Amino acid sequence: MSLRTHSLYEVLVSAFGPDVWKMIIPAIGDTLYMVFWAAVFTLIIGICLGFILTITADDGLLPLPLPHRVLGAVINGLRSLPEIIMIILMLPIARVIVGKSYGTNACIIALVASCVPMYARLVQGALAELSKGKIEAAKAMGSGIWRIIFSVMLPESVPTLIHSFTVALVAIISMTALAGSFGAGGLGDIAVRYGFNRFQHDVLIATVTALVLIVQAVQFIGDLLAHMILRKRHML
Amino acid sequence: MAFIEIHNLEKSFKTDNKSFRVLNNINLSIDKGDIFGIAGFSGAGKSTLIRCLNRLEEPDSGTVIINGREITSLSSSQLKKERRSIGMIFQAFNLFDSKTVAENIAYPLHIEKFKSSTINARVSELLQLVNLEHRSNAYPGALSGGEKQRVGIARAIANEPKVLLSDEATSSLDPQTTFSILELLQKINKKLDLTIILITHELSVIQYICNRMAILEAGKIAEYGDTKNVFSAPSSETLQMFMKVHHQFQQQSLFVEGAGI
Ligand SMILES: Nc1ncnc2c1ncn2[C@@H]1O[C@H](COP(=O)(O)OP(=O)(O)OP(=O)(O)O)[C@@H](O)[C@H]1O
Ligand SMILES: [Mg+2]
Repeated sequence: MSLRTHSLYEVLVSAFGPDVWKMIIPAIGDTLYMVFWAAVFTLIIGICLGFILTITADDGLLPLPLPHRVLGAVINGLRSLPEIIMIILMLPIARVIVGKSYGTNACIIALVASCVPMYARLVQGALAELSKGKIEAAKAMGSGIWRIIFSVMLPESVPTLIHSFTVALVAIISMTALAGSFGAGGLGDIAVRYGFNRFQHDVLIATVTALVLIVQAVQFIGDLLAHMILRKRHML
Repeated sequence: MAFIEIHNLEKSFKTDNKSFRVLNNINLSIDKGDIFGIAGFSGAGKSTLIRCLNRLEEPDSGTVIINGREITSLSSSQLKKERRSIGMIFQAFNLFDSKTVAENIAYPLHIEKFKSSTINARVSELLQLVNLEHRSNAYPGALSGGEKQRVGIARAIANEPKVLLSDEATSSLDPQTTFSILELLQKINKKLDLTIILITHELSVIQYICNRMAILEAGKIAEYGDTKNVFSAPSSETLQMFMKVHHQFQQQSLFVEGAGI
């Protein structure tokens, strides 16, 4: 249903009607599937890289200037690529890993590749907020580097890590929509195919609504979680 | 040989290719059971000195010997072990916000890989020692400054160290809380035969609790000896100035009282 042929009221009614949502709901499923796996990998890889960046810095636990600079440069390089270029670049690589260069799994790889550099920097920022004093106290008690990482740096920074992960997750969601137009399916695909190509504005409105709701939910849950932890620690 | 010996300790910091000497030929010996005070103006190098003792700061040259072990020649894995017998407390407390009081105190015990029943028993013993049994499940965020420092002390002495280093541990506390922390330090000094090295800005802290002291002036030991002797004949500019200011404050307060408002 297009605004060219129907009134705004009719389009809105249709946008929230059952016919459109029969199409939207499976697309939400696809989108959430991609977002979920992209988020899991981004979280794990991003935290690892963020810790490596922090620890190998000159004032870190294990200063390694050369690896630190190389990793930093690679991350900056990847971050400077526009998302859409990143997706195009990753498609042949996805073919090597999952056997094809289209579909949801290929899209997950592209999403991870473009979100990891951002999240790694966010993790580095979260760790930089940790007071040096806590790490020194741990050192002074004779802790090894692994214990400092897992018993001090990680638990101490959990609220900030959650916060920055929420930011990354929202970016992943918007990128999923973008990747949708490269054959990944999901809400982005629907929005482009129906909303843009066929002027079905009711579908477009429904997709946008679904995306807004998902982002809001993610933001709400992230904020709530971080808030709960801070409250438990009496840090509010 | 004294319990702690520091010989010819030197430390410089490099900033914009300029080398800046912070510790200049430091020699000190501290006996077992001493409460040794170090005072000096801001930037004199007090923190750097105390941090060289457990090598949070690497000295450029010189030796530090604690209880017969030459700290300055230990490998990094030996140092890690040795640090477990050198406790440290800080002005900013540096407690772990993600852990409860009991978990903070248990942290160094986990490093030693004790059984959990041993750890629990030791933690309650320490909680009792620092009068915080009722706060064992609280998070540091919910504690007052004095309580935080008592957790810091319990954590620092959990592994029964021989030495406790204190870098301005009372500087952010009010006078009354400072007093109670000093009493606690005195108690553990006697009870555990713990040698304490403490840095402070306040002469009254040194006079109250330290049997021996040193004044650090621009990276050098300006004077050093029994607290009584040093105070009866202050020879360093730093200490004379400190005492002058101290007196001025006292006179000031008399003046206000005398005004009889
Ligand atoms: N990591 C560092 N890099 C460069 N300079 C440093 C570093 N740490 C300390 N300094 C310098 O060394 C000097 C001595 O510092 P230190 O912290 O030991 O002084 P302090 O006597 O403890 O002072 P305060 O009473 O203010 O704590 C200061 O001039 C300080 O700027
Ligand atoms: Mg200092």
